[in-house]
Amino acid sequence: MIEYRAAVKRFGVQTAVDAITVSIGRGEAVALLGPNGSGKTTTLKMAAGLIRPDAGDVLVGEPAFRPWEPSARRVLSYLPQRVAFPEALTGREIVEFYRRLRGIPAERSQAVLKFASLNGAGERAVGTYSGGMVQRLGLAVAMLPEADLLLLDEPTAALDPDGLRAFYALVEQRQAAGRTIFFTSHQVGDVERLADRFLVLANGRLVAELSQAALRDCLAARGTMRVRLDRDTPGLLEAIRRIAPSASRVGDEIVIAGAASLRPQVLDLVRSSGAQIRGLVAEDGRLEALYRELVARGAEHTE
Amino acid sequence: MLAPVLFALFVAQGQGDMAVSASTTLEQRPAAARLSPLQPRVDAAAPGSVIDVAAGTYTGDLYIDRPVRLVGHGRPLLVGSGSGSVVLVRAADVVVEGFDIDGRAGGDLGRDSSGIHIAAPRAIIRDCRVRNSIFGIYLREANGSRVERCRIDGIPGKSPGEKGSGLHVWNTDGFELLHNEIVDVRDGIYIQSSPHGVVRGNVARDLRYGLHYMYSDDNTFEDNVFENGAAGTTLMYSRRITFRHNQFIHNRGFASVGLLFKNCDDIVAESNLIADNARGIFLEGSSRNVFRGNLIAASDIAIVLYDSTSDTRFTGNSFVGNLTPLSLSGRRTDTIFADNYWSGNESPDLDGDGRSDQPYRLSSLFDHLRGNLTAADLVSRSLAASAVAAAEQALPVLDPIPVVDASPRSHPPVLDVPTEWRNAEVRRAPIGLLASAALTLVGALPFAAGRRRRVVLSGAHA
Amino acid sequence: MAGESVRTLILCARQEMLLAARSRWTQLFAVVFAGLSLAVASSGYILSGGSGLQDFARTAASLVQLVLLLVPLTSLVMGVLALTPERGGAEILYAQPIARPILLLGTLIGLFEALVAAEALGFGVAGLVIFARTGSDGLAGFAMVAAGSAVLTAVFLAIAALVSVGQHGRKRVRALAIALVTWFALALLFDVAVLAAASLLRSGHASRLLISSVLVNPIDAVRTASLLAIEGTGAFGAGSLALLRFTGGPGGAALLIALSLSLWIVVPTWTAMRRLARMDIA
Repeated sequence: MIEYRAAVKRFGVQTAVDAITVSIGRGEAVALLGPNGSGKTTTLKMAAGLIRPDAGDVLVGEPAFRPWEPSARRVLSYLPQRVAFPEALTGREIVEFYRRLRGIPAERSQAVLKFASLNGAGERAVGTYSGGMVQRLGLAVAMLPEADLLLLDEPTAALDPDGLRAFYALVEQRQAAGRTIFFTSHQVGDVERLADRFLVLANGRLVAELSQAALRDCLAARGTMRVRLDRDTPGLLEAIRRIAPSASRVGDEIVIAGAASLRPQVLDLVRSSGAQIRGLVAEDGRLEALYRELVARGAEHTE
Repeated sequence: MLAPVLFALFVAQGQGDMAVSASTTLEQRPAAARLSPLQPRVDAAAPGSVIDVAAGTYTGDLYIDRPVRLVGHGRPLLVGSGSGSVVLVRAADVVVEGFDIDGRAGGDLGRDSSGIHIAAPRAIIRDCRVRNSIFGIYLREANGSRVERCRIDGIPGKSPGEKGSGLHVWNTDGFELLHNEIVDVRDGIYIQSSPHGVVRGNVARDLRYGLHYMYSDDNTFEDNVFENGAAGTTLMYSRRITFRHNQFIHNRGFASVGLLFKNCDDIVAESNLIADNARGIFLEGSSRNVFRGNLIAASDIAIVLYDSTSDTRFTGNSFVGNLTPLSLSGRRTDTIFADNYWSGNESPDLDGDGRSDQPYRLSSLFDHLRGNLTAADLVSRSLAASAVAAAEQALPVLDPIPVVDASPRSHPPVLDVPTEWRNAEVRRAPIGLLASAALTLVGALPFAAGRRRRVVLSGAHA
Repeated sequence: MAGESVRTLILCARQEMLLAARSRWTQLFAVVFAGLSLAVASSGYILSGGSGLQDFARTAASLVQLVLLLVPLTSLVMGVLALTPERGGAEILYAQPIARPILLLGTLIGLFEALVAAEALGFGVAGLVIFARTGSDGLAGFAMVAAGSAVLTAVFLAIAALVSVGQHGRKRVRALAIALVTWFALALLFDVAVLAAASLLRSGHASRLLISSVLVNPIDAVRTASLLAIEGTGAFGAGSLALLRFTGGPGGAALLIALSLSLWIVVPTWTAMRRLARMDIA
């Protein structure tokens, strides 16, 4: 459905996307991860036909066309990171405009407004909308066509709770219908977990391609557990360090970094030490840490 | 839309200040075959008798060689033979009144073929209408003659160069031209070598020269209208003329002038309306002239001044809405400007004496440029021209020898000038009004629709 | 395919017109323009002290000056404001399966319609005042001024399109600055520079330079055409004849002015469309 063939995009001296080659098949939901400035938006905009690669090629659809050809964009619908609409128009007028622009049946307008929880605000001027409402209106416009390919740039970043709910529903519905979804994110929240596959971008390069399970493992392996105890038990920290060498005491907490699989053993040690657990926080690894590792590893590979 | 442009072009090429010299041959008694059926009555009339002419058409020329009074009743029409003048006055003290005269475009310029040709003193022509004649009414050595309440229409379709004057006065000492109307001829009123005349209440319009005038001293012009002349009004080589309460208007040809003096001295022009002319007043080689209390308005150039002009005064005039107040040919002038009102003068009157606190500069850098380069006129009405003028007003060094009004009025004076007779009545243009109303409606529509649509939509989905 | 493009054009134009009709700026322009037109039309009478001295030609000529001053600036500013959408506005539009040049052209047409409507309102109001007391002789001249106003609107919207292309988001201010400089250059600097150059050249060259510059600059071209149409050769005195000689008569002058103005509309629009089609919406 999308194919990047050694696609390169430079802005001045800076290389935003550096020879990405990746293929996304029909029905897949793929998340493009990476730190800020890693080239996610540029990569996505190339698929939306907004940016042309300087070298290499980008193709969308089946049969495949270059998305900067207007007719090729019939297969796709794109939602930018932050949308803006003319403030003097009403939500309905905007949806109607895009509906007619794409020649979509009239009844869709009402459906998408309702879907984006805007059916009460459809007759109000966009100038009166909150930021979250504007973003939901963008979502409504993006889901107007039953496009084979949904391109969403940081869809969850600016959405309010209503928007997030709508977005969940959208992704699930489109997945069920066998559509392809490609979206960017710089964090992993609940929504991103809907993706089947994750691409990790750093400095414009594709540094990793992970399945959902692999990503979870990756993050779990870089998790942190913090245990707050009612008293200081001598020898406990040393015992834990034998299993997890990086464990340390921070205030009244013991902080244990490492794979999630170590956690039961650690908890066994705490219990056997006789101390009472007052608080326990366990979290997966942060993406930033993963990016750092992947970038470092990428650098090793190239050397 | 292009027609006026073409016309002006054509006229501009066809004109010149050529002096029309009087012919040497005087038309004599026409051959018998060409004479009017009225001729036997004239020939039979005793001197001093009255010949009453009933309504009807009389074809043929009429030769009046004795002092009679020819009176038309019910506007009899005299149609000329087509070979020369229709009525020839060859005796003193003849009166002709109440006739319509058709010259059938006959005769020729060189023989002064006229509707009424007078070559004798003290004739009175009254209430006559002349049309289709090369000259209208011609006074040749007709001292003390009077033409009043006549109307002259030129030969339709002929070029100005082939037409004669409406009222032509030559070598006539003492004459009166009163309340005549002259349309579509070459020169409305032509006066040459004829002193001590009075020209009052005439209208000359839609022609080449409204007034064409030379070698004639001590004449008075009052309450006349010279309108829409391709060349305007021109006076040459004359002295001691008075212009009071006349209108020189709508002379818009390329070289048209409201009032042009060339080598004319001791003229007083007072309370005249000189408006909507290409050039308002033109002075060349003229001395000791006075312009006071005139309204000079809406001209491209209000005054064209040659430095050969001397000792001239402009006082108490109002200059309103002219593109340029003054075009000076040459480097300096001794012309005095004082107490005039200039609509372009924005300098304030802080001491409240009714005069701006600073002199008003009439000459400008831009005018200097357009004096040398006619194409500069094309940008004369641009923002740039205004900007140059403003810069000059602020930085006087740009124009080292200015011509100024030393005490410009801060408010327009109340003048005793005539109001334009033609626009005095309000005219309406129903088509224009209709088109404007439609335009207003069409223009308002999108704005109204912009408001409406919201309501309609919400209604539809409610 | 062509039919679809036309439908899209109409859709975009309608949307833009709706937007412009609701914009305070367009409404303000309509009110200001109508007010000033009315003032010009009425003051023709007032200035003459009620004597009717300022006849139609003078009033129409003042209307021309008003148009020349107000319309280019307004068209440029409104054009730039409408054609430099906020961040995120351009992306969602240009990701639609519609060629960007068509979207731009439709927007331009809509803007044109809205501005011309505002101008028509002004001319209509002024015309009601004018034709209530002058004859219908001036109707053609009046129509010519109105048409000149529409043409100037098109020219400066085309320039606005060229200036705005790709300048969305925060670059809007830059585009506005460029637009203002362009306006200043065409409305004033150009003529001043030409006059300065003409004063240095020999008169033959200077004449040719002045005449060509009047044909080349769109503001000068509209002024020249309108005033010649209203006032005949009296409009610029001897300069009118110099122009007509140079262009080989009124027909030639009309043709050259029409050509110049058409190029001013077509070339910037076409260049803007071409550049927009190829550029990255980054």
